[in-house]
Amino acid sequence: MGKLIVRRLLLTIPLLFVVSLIVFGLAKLVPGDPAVTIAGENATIERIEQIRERLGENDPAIVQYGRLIKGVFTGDLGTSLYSEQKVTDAITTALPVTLSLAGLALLFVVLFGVSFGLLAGSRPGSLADRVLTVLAALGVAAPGYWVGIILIIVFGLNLGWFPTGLYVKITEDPLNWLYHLALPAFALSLAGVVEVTRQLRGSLRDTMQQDYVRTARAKGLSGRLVILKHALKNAAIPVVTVIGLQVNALLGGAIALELVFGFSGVGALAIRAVVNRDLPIIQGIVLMSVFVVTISNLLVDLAYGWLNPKVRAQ
Amino acid sequence: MTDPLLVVDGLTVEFYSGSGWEKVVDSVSFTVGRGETLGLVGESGSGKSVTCMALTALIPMPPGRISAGSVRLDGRELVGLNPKELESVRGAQVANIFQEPMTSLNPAFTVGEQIAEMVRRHQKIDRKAAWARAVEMLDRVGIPNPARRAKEYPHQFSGGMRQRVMIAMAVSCEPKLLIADEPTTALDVTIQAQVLELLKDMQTEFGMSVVFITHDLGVVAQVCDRVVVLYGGRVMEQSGIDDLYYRPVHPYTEGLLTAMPQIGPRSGRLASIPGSTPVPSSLPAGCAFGPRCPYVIDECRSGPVPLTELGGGRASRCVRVHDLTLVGTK
Amino acid sequence: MSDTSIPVVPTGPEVWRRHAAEHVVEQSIDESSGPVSARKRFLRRFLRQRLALISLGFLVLIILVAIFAPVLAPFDPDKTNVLERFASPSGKHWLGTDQLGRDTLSRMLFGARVSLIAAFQAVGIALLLGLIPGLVAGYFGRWIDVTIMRIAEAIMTFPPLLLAIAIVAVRGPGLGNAMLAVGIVSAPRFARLVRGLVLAVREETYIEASRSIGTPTARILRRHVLPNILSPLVVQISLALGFSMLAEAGLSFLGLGVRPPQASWGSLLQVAYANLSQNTFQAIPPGVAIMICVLAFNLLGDGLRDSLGKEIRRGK
Repeated sequence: MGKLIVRRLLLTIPLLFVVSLIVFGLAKLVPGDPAVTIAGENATIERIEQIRERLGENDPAIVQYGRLIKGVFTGDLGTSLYSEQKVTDAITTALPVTLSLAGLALLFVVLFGVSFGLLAGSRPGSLADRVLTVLAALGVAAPGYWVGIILIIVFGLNLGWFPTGLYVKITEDPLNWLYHLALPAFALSLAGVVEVTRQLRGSLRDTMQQDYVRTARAKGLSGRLVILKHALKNAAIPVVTVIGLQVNALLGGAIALELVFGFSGVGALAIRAVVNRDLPIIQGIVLMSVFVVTISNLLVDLAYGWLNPKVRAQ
Repeated sequence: MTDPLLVVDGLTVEFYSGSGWEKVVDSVSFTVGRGETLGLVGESGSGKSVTCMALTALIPMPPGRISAGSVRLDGRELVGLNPKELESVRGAQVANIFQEPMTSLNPAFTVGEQIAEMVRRHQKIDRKAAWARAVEMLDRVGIPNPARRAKEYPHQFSGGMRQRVMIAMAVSCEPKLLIADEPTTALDVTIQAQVLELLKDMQTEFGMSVVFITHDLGVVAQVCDRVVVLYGGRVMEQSGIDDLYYRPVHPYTEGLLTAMPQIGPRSGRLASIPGSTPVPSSLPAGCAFGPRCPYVIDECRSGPVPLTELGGGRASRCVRVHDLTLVGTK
Repeated sequence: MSDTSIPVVPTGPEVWRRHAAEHVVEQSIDESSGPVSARKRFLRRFLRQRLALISLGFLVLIILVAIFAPVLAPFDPDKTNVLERFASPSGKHWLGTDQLGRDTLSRMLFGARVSLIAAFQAVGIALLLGLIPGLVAGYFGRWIDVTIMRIAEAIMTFPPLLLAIAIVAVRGPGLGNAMLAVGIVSAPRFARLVRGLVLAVREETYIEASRSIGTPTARILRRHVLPNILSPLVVQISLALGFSMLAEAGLSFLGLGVRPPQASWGSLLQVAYANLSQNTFQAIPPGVAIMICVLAFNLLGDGLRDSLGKEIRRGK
């Protein structure tokens, strides 16, 4: 298994190289001069030059790129153009919020997605299956942040069952943390739940037609055991891929939901940075997200190896 | 037959296609004695697999259903049992072996686990004991190094080995009846002989009866005591093994025998049965084999043909059974 | 005991041989219907998909509504009337009014224009950026293929909305830039799809034949490859339209897309959210509209995909 991990990591290097080039390229494409922005109005040419020197803008592109890469490894991603705060600090403060939101949403995606998928897949054509199919179609078309707003209206304002904002740190009060995150995480998870349900339903239907399911039944195993053990382990493989892809979507969707619920996570940071044309922050956020996605892809591959022994043997 | 193990009487299985219910198995009856091997012969599509799957209700119940008939195992009626009861019959009293061992074994679990779980299901023993039994069974079927190989996955075994694993799995709970659905069709000829040998050993050791499904008359000669020939979901002929080969009583059987490649001097080309297997939705009104039969007469087409008992356990569903003296092999 | 007056029926291998010889002549050649063009089969199957047809009809309706918005809208969408702010839905204002007293229904009708055009814009850009690299990668293969696919993979590693935001950050907020961003984000999927299809088609004999008589590559791509990959492409386009609509709404909601006074459904939602404490109803119409349109695009795409049936499976 260890060999598998190392090999996968090595394979990602060329990809990360291209990614870093894109990120670097993005920064260079900004029209206008960040030095001018920092210097502010009425700045003298010398002042602007000074700032440019300090930012390292006058060095050749290769050197600047090298600095970026070095920064990734040393954890120094530069300083915000706007607030003089170190990019890394700004992100690490905001990250727990976003990770909590996306993490809880991911948990919902797996929990609900697998449950509904099992329900629909083990009984194709039943009422449960058809109802779920309709709900699924709607769930994927609805914008996540809109669902969040509706939830706020219904459960927060009208019914008062859930709080509608204010993030509570898990370290301070775990129960309240969960309580405050419930609505937004649910809204965020909706599209993912649908995707997982659909995928599991489909692959479960295929798996149930396989010969080994027939054998399992012929052995006298109970219906439930056949589905939950024999069918599921094989049907889960494409589902794991879908779950991995959801991580990508969740990080993006979290941004809008942070806005709706007023959380100060990475999303809020990003939006402020866009408005302020604060490139280093944007760069840092993008790099961080790529990092998270790469880790999740690695985990997906590891899960493959566990689910499908043939892959392990290679 | 006195005290048969299995009595199948008038079993009819239908499947729902877009336009209605079609009979895939039509009023099939046969018996299996204790310790006996019954061959179930027919082309693909003749309903032989469906018949045997229906014995323990293994067919998918939508879109299929058992619309008539009875299946009595050791006196106990199996048709109409509820799922829980059926689950305790399957594996423990009636076991199955299928044709494709690669796809019939779950690729995600070790071979040992797949045997052990069955043992755990039917016998109240713990994990360790079940695993030990699994290893023991692998050893019994001739898998070298069973303790190590029990931890391996199906894709790590060769075709013949996999079939041995399936056999080990099937007999692990010492069933009374083993249904072997074309167990050697997918294997090389040399491996075939080994697997057949193994089956015979297991049968003797556990005192099982076997229903052996196949389309290969060569194999039938080696293992079966009695044979039932199916065509279009109906029983065409029932005979003892010698009678079947030397004195067949149904044209279809004669055709199958003629089409068999024979060792020794051959006269002329091989003759195969012209035409193709009928589909359940397009069976003729009269004899199912009529369209392809060289001896067909008008009476064959007029209406359903009854099964004529010929005494001594022999039967034939042929209108002309009394005027044809068919030729068997030499 | 045999009675010689009863004829003995001949039996045995000879009978079978003769029987087989006679039957061969009788065999009817019953093959499935001749060469019906793939496109006709596709159309026929598509017309049987009820959901997809309803979706198509609905989308056409929405497009017509958007085109005729100036005629259909009961009020000027920009006309403010502070006396009637946050009116509930009524006979006069079917969907109520917003915080400046503007009629929501009219704003929604005009918003449809913006949202729809934006979606098509984004997909158009995605096609432009994705089609040609995909064609090239699939047709020429080897290192060109590897390079292009690496770039596509890299772009797909970024969370889509985040990448879109980053691109908007670089170019500045605004609908055009937002749609450029969405187009860039969607392009790799098209490139991958087209590449796969081209790979499947490349080995076809008519391509070989055309190449052997010296037809220039661009011509081959245009006349032979393109028409055959059209159907799966149409599926992807439909789904991408749904995604782009969601993306535009998202970016506008975040304030990064449409600039006032222009309004799309996404920005209407943003305004409604900002005033949530004063009126909750206004948050409903834009979201519902987005949801239904995206649903229609998705159902249409699914229906098209199902009509492709075996063709696309063979292509993969």
